[in-house]
Amino acid sequence: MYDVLAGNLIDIFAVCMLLTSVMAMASVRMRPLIRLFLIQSVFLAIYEFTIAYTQDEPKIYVMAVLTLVIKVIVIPKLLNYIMDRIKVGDEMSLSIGIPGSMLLSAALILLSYFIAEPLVSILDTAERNSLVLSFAMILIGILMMATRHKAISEVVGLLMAENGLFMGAIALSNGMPFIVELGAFIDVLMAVIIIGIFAFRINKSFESLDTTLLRRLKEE
Amino acid sequence: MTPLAMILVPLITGILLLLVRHQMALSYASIIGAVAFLITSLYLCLPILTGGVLDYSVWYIDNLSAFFLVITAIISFAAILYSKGYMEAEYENEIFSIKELSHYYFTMFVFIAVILFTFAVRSAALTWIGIGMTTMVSAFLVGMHKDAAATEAAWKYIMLCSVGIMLALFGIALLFAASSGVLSDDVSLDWPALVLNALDLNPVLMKFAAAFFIIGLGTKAGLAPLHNWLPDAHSQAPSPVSGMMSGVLLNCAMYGIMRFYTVSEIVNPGFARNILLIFGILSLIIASSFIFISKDFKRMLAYSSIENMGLIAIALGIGTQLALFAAVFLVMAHSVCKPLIFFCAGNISQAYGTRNMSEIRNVSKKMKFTGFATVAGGLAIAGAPPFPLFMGELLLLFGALSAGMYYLAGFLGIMLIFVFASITMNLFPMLSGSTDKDVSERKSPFGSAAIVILIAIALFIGLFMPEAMTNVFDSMVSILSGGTP
Repeated sequence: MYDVLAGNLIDIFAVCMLLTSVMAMASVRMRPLIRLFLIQSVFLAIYEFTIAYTQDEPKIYVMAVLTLVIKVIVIPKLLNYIMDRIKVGDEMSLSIGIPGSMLLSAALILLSYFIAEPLVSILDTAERNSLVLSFAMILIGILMMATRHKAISEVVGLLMAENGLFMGAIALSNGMPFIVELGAFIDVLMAVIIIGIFAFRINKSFESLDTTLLRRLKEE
Repeated sequence: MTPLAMILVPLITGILLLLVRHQMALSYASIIGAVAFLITSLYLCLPILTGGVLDYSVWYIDNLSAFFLVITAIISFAAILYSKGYMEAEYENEIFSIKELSHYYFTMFVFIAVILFTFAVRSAALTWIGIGMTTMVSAFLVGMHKDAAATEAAWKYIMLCSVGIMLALFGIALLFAASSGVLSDDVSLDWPALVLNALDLNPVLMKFAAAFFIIGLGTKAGLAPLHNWLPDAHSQAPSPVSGMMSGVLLNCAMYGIMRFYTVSEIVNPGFARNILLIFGILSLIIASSFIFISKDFKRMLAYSSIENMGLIAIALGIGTQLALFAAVFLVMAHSVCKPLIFFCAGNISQAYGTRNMSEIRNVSKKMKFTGFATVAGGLAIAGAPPFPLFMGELLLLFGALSAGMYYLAGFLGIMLIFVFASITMNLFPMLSGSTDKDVSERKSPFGSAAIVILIAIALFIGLFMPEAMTNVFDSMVSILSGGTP
């Protein structure tokens, strides 16, 4: 009974994370997008706490705390700081409209069920079902990077895909060795800082953060 | 001598260089640092190349790692030597301030330290962290020029490679899941332990792991169709950095792929091979067509890097002993020849003020030394004898033939001739003709020395292949096919 409850709770939080990803695809403004990323990270932290508690895996507590500190507090702060400093317009530019994005997201979710099926059947962790959702989140994150043209929205796409990846890594084997987790967190943080530096520079060279302007390098 | 010392030498040099704010002092100090890390890494690695494995705490250097480390040390040394003249010219033309110059050397040395780290560690996780760090550090080197084009290149580079690195991390998570019941947690991601216990790993998980890892690191290695960042990054970076990126940085990702490939081939024979074959063939097709239409000198060279990475992927994809030999030989040949021609391209683009090949004419007359070096370098990357790429390509063709893959061999033959023709067609008109530009060769003994050293190494490998070296290659082949060195 207790196991069923735990499994259900874990699934619910995983679904909430996927929902935030889909909502992010429907978002047309940048600040709400950053807020959605924050909410998703909160869900990730709760997801990790639940697993750490129900599966008795103390090392996942550390991950959950790291998620709270880095992904819920530091990175959204940094992104908002960049937004303030470069005074960029709040609206995003999309190469695929909202209905198209929704349809594509739905297709990607179906696709990830199709891909992840053979994997789920051989795993024995309580949270194995969330693996499918994590595949979907990674794919939707990459779709967001490909179809949104503001620098910040590309970054949020990357970060959301990364959230999916963390969820998948936990679903696979109750988390990776600590060194990998730590490396991954540092990597994400470094990436955001460096991306921030270049975002300032894009703003200075192009006077806009629209990365469609970044299409000048190509063969004539 | 420990691996830690080998990594600390460039790292500390870099930090010290950050304090230097004088142009001449900076150049000479960096050359002293380069000599220091060249000596330490050769001192550490050459004994390992002749036999033996260094294996303690987090470090693991076998033949394969030592081979990559030696290449890294030599090419980085050449790049720092070449930087002296190149950066002096940029400084005199007021493209870089003294502060930027000192930042450049700092980043460059940290970059070298991180690459050395990547090759010297035992765990897949640390290799991954190393590769991730190289991306972060080199993004600054790509964006060095701070103009719109360089910013765009750096942005594309960091975004695409972050996706690649992320996919590779998922591959590692899958690898960990595959090995978690088999190996104890402390060694579960160690390359040697994985190879030894490969047969017990879960094959389904390993298939997914291989797919994610190879696609992820393939992005970083510049394999098509995820290669878009590479021509931009390589063409916009300062030329010494372009040389480093194609000669050394691409190897990092290739090394990761090779290690994973070894494990994956024992678990699921043929699976990783097929993925690499597809990526390799795609890269070859895309790269060769873009080499044909390129107008920008450095972009053409960048596409040639994609072509060579494709060839290495194809060699791994064939997977016979001969083909694996060709793969490691091609790694070495490409690492020596590509920086050579990038350095020439740097000299030419500085003198002419453009990278557009149709505006560059009469190089042999105006710039005697660079003209001569460009002939050598151009023939080398086009794959003409007696340069090593020719040997490598020939070995690859024989590998394909002896594996019974006649269609592939035919395709390779046609593609290689096409690439040879395209490169010579684009490159050699620059040497003759006439130009009304006022161009002269810049005197830079150190930069010329770097080019001469690379030509000498290329000729040496192409013409003589001492038995000691053949033995090194043979033991690398046995590592790649899952045996012990």
